[in-house]
Amino acid sequence: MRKILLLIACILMLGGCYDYHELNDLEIVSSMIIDYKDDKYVVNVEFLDTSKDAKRGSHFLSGEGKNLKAAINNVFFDSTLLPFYSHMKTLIISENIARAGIDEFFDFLLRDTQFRKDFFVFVASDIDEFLDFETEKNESIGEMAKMSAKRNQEKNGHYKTSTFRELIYHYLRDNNYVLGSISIEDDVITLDDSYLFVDNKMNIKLEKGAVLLENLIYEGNQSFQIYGENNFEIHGYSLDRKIKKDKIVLTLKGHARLLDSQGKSSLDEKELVEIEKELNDKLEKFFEDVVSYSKKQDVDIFNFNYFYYLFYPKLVKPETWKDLEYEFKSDLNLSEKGLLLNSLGGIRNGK
Amino acid sequence: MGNKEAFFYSRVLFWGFGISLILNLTGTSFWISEILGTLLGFIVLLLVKNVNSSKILKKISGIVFAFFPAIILVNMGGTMYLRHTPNFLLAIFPILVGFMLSRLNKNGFKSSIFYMFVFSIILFLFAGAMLIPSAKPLHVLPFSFDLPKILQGAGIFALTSVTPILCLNDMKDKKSILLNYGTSMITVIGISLLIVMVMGSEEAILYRYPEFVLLKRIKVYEFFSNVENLFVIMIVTDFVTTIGLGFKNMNLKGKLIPFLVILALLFVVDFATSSSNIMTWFYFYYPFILLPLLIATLFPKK
Repeated sequence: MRKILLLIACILMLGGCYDYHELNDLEIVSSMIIDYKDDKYVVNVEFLDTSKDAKRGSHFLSGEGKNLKAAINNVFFDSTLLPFYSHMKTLIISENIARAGIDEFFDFLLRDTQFRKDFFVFVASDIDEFLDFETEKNESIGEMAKMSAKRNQEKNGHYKTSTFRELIYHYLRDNNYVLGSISIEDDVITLDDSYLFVDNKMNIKLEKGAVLLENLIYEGNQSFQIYGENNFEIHGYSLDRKIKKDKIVLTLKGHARLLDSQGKSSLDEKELVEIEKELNDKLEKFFEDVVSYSKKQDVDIFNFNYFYYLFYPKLVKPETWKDLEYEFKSDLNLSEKGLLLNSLGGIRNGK
Repeated sequence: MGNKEAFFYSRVLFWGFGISLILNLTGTSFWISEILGTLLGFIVLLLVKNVNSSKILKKISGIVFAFFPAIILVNMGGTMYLRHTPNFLLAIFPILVGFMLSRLNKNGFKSSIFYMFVFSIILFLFAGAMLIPSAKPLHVLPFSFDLPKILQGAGIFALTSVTPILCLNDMKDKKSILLNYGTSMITVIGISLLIVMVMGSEEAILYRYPEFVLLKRIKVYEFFSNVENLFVIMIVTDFVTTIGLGFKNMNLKGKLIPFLVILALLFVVDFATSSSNIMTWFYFYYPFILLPLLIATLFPKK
């Protein structure tokens, strides 16, 4: 009898589960755009339009409130649908919030388990252009911005923005961090510049070289290119850090691929050794210039003070990074030169 | 198969309680505390020949070790997954499954525990392999050495791992207990190291369930991500097994008594998990509940 009762109970429970929601009832959030106007947060949440007859890929709902949570709640005041934040790809913050400080809502976003922490964070000067942007079917601003930033960061290193997780990493260590700006130009989502945030406030616009070094130090990049008389792509590399009492030594080890060679008559062994040396010298000089730029700006862009603290916690002072010596070693190996034995220009008149 | 039970209950209180508490106490020197705690645990287990097997003590320890895993699991489930589901409903699953496990015959129980052990080890190895690329050795720096805190951490570590073994075991198969204790501690130290090396100690001490947040970081490019729900089974297995062993220790007989105990446990777990204050109190003071239990167990009946 007991088994029969248990079986009936199980059969009854198989029909559904407690507090379930149909997929159709969920609104999948792709991005969130936050602005601050008239002493209020304005939150615009971008939802994916997944229905078959949808003309656009996404649409926005907006709400405002005294704090971020209240504003988000007000977004759904008139809506019957449930927001689903786990797939949120992008958070865009208006420039006025970025200049005033973005740390006010870190606690909320980190504490709330609905949000995954690996969404990308951007800064935008004109929020309205995103709200007016019409996405194509199966497209969303959140996804496009994320993919574009990821590709640029990984493949050329001249753009940098941070994920929310990276922001928290730096915030907890009192570090400076970088966020990229984004805009819409000619109906295309465009990555603009990268900005350094000091004390969680937007500070200076970074030079491309500084952005590249930031990407290399924080392992956000897989390959980058160096241009000049010969052009190279650096890949499969690592940037080793050695922190000594009076100096920081950064060593770049890895592989370089010759992309094109102008005016070299031949690419024999001797010539390749020279090209390799030329590349390594160029990179050493390049990174020395980048650190000089950081000193000139009077900001520890790359958080060298933090790295120093890890090894010498008792010796570190706020200005220690300025007094340290920096040495760059480039130990790249020219491992590939492509399909051509010599340079095209070099063999044209060869007899 | 040996005594695989020790593998589960020697580490169960590290999830949600132990690891987080030791990290908060010792910072980047957590690993010294954990190694010292393991050694201390080995010494205690080697020295103890008999444990107090009085019925009352067995019942009390059974209640304690069914209660703690249940509240951690319910609180974790309610925080991470089912935020709108009442805790009472959440508690039904682990408590009933634990009870059913305790009702299996000896061979059935041993086989279930063995298969869960194999499953847990495989998940641990997979999770470890996938997290190693994101681990950064720099995160264990700056090296700090605060001896009183390290010793305190080692004490908590030993207490958390050894007390369940002594309370839920008859200590007859010592070789097997030591082997499983060692394996279990390797997994705890491995996961603690991964927590700090992946997140950094600053972030690790922030989270209520750092081991779960660690599992969220498993990502192999884009195609293998959001898999924490699979790997968390490793942790849930520990909780359910220990609840089962807790029931086994209570040795509930008759038709009405088990039903009443289950119902009472459901209400107590629901009450404890309904308040952050109570959960925070247990988080900070659980070693003080384990200590008298350990002392009472160490003195066998004459």
